Amino acid sequence: MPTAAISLIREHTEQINPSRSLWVPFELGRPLGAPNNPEFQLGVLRSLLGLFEKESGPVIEDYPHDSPVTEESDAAWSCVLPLPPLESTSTPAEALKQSLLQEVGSLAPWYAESVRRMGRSTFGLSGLTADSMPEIAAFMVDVASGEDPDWPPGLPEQNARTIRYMADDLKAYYMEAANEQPGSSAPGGERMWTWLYHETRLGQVFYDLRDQLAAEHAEKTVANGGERPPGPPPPNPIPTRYANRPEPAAR
Amino acid sequence: MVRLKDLPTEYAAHLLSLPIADYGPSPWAEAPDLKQARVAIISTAGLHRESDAKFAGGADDYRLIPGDLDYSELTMSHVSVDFDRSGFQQDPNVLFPLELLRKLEANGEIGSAASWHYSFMGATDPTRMDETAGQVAKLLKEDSVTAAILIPV
Repeated sequence: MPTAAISLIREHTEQINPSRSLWVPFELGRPLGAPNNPEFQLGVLRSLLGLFEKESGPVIEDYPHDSPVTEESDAAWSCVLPLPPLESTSTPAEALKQSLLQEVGSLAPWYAESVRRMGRSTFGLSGLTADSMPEIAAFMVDVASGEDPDWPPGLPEQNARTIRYMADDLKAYYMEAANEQPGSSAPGGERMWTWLYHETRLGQVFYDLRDQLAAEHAEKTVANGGERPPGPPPPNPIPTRYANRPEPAAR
Repeated sequence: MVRLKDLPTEYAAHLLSLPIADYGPSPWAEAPDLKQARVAIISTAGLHRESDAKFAGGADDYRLIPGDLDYSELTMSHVSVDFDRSGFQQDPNVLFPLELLRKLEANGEIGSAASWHYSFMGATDPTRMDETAGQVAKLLKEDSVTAAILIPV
């Protein structure tokens, strides 16, 4: 069977050395380059199909065009909803929970609109529906502040992987809501991440969650005589290149 | 963008350290004239219809995607902390260009889009998929596919 493959990590493709490859300089998750830009996507697809006209190989071609979604073209996007305040009358964790719940509520109409328009959603890896968003959000804040809360009802399983899937559902809800807001275009991947991790209460909860679960894991390692405890590593919802918390002024 | 020099050093080192099996020399299969080709998409984005079972981490099986797919049925259960699904959420063609293939078929640039396309889970060790990949190759031939495009995520 003749095959032609898109290559995302050129160094991997050079090792695997398949018969026909087109290396593309795009973000992971976007192998055709740019959403809602059929002309650009067709250019990539035609180049990929063009590899079938080669008479010998293996061949790795480099796609010559960067995605039209650039940091500059993307910088103008911002979420129209304000960051909910942290009330000073409660504990820090309770204040964060209330602020997060307010944020989730303010995104709800836009998430619902996205589902209505697209007819689908990527929410649901945890096994819950978006109706459970307040319970998921409150649970995550409690875990991130070192408590041992009851799990939201309706989960098919309750373990570290469930926390990871709930984090992915929270991200899906936020990103689908952000895509739908009025404006000239939806945010590109980098702008979406900067908003999600650095400009929302959810991002703050994710950093707290990462640090809390890592600290608990370190304690278990000490208690285990310095050996890594059995089981998977602690869930970490923060991408490698966003590992550093934003400066407080960025929030 | 995925140029290793543009990624954080630690992440680039992680990508380079991933084990890659030695598949030996790639066999060269002669392709038909594109205007006659019947083209199928093989995706490793963990795509499936809402009514299908989600992919589990490390899954070595596949999901069928019909050529007359309605995109409102399509979802994605491959997740990674280092890429996001926002591109897919905005437009599935950015990783599964079935609508574009249909357009190329209508233009006469390819012979036809296949009746069935196939989706695998992205994070699975590829050596675990050897058996399933062989099955899919046979299924592609039964569908008279003459060119397969492989699209990772």
